[in-house]
Amino acid sequence: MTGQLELTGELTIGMAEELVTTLQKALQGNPQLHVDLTAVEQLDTAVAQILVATKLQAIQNAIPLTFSCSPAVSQRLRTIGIQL
Amino acid sequence: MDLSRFHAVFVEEAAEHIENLENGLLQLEKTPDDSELLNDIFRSAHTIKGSSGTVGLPDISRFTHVMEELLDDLRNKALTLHRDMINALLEAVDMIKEMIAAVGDKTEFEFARCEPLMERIRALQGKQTPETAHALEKNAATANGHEGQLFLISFVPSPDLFRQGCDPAKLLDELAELGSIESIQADTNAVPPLVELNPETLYLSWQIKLRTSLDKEAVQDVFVFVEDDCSIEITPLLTPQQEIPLLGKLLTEEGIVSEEDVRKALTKQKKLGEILVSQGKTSQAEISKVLEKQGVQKAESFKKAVSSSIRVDLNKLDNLVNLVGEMVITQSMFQQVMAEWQQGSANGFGHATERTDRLFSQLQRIGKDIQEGTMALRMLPVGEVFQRFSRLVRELATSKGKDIELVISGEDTELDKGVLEKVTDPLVHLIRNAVDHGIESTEERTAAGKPAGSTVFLRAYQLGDAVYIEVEDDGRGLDRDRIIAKALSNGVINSEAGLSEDEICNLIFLPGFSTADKITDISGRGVGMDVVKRNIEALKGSVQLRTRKGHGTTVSIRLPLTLAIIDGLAASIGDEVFIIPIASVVESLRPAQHVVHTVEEQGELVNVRGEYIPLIRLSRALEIPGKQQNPWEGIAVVTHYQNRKYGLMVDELLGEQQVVLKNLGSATPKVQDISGGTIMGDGRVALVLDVAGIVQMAHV
Repeated sequence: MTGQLELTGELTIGMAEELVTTLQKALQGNPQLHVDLTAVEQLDTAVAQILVATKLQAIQNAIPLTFSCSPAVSQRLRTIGIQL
Repeated sequence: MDLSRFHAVFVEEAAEHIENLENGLLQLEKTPDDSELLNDIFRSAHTIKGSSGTVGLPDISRFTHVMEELLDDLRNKALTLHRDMINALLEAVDMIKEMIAAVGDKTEFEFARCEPLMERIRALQGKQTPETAHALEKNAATANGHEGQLFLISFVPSPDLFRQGCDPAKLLDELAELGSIESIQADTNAVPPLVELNPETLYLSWQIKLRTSLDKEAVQDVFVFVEDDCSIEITPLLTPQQEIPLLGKLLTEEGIVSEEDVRKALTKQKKLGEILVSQGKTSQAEISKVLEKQGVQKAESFKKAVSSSIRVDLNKLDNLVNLVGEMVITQSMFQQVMAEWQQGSANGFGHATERTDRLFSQLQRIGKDIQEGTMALRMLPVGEVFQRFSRLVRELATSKGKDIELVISGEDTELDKGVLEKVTDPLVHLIRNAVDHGIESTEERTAAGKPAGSTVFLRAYQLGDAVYIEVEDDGRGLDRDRIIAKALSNGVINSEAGLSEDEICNLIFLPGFSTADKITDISGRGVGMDVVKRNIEALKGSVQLRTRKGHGTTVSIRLPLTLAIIDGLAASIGDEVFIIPIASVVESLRPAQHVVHTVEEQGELVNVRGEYIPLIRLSRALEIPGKQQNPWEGIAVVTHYQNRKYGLMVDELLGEQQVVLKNLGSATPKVQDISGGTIMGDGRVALVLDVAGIVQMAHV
């Protein structure tokens, strides 16, 4: 069963701690995980970095992890040179 | 997370795909319509791209992506294949090899080096020739006002940047406003996995390529607020066209032209060599010399050794595991018999002995099979090494301006891994010789009425107890007169009298012998053939050369199967026992008196069902007293060597048995007719005969 995690709104460093906890839980409770970012309006470098760390964690735990991004998210990731 | 621990696995896995890519591309050039092959190539590129990305090697992933796109277009028939594409893709394979080698050595690979090639591949994909693509690109760039200096910006921010309330994304956005960002790549290697992540620490750093008409200071200004605790490097880059290729570097190194000249020449879209010549900076001869050197440097990369691990066919392993299983069962059956025996079971003594006998012979059979299975593990198909030569021939031929096809056969022939490793170097040498000296220039061929396209054959086959590897070319052949003249002037021989054609040809294996008029860097410095011969002899093999003037040359390498356990036919001569390898035995017979013929000065012949076979009396050849003086009282063991049969006369046959072949040790001088010794079941030492050696010594 693929776990779904949907994130919304503006993701910034202010909610970084909270976001890390949420993602950690999601990674622990699911054999595979899909993170839905299609409703995210904005994200900053700190959050992008958390997503990279999440991906690494998923590789380490051997959990298939996928993302779907809103145009705003894709645009931001592209301009800071990060591929998820 | 530190992904680098996966790198070793990646390097190993990638090596296989690279080989697949390389061989596939070479094959594709011959059969451009093979869609299955194209799919296979695509899959290899795709796998390299995917796995390099997964293990944190984004550079390789990005580079392979460009290759993959071109391959995909070919696959979808959006593009049709032409030679430029194969060339570019092969160069790309080389580039990936270098990148992966850098990963293996844990050294840095400058990604900027890939750019020109990536651009070329993209241009090919644009369904334009590279030249027009360049022109178009340039026009477009000017039109968009994007022309300007390209800067490589390395931005390693302070880990505390977030805490200072700064988001690097803002800086990057600002940078983008200065011109156009050609590429941006965040280095995520320092980012730990989520559980170890401190979300307020910045682990990322960036490599950015920015094209702008502004100067370096303007770029520097973007970072003005953070430059105190961040490391920022801004380097103006050469545009890809200014990248100096290998030839340019070599020319500069040799002191033939200055780097300045090379750079100027590079601004024109012509072949580098031609421009330098036309500008009078150097002569065509000098260029050719260096071009050859370039060929050699490329060729060097083919000499890499066979890897130290071995890949075993799963069937072979399964077979072994089965046998071990059988052995365990037999063992427990034995145990049961022994237990019954001790209890004085009602079955009786006789019955137990019978069962023991049966179990024992079963165990013997299993033991023999395990032995064979284990030896087979060391055997590798020669194809693994042969495939590499396709590329070698292609590169060498291109550098010599010849049109040569390499035809490979017998890839499945198996050779001991150790032998295969050591035979690679001599083969590289022989193939280079064939390409460089053997094959004539296209003009010479046409003048001689031969087709312009030439062929080099590389084949392997097993015959009897040996594996043969042959390198054959359809070139000019060896010049017998020149060899003799050279040998006379070197003092190698005193006169040509009494030398057979074969012996004359084989003179070139003597140290310091080369008849090449023109000494080139590819081959022909007078060292070589003797080294080839020495290397092969170190493997207990031999080298033979056959040539026909105007028709070509064949060099044939004979390598013994190095299985340490051989099936042998034990035979006695006088008081001694000798082992003849079964693999070279055709049959054994006692000839009737009337079928043995003596030919004046030629020795004896035996007529076996109408076929006359030379008879070699082993007692005479080995200089030991035999019991039987007449062939019709002894036994003729018919063996074959190089498609001919020879009868070896022995006193009597003792039977067939497996023997462990041991080296005689370095204390014994090299004996041509004995390949080793063995200890027989009864403790006696028997010598194992080398049929090839005996035939050669007997001169029949």
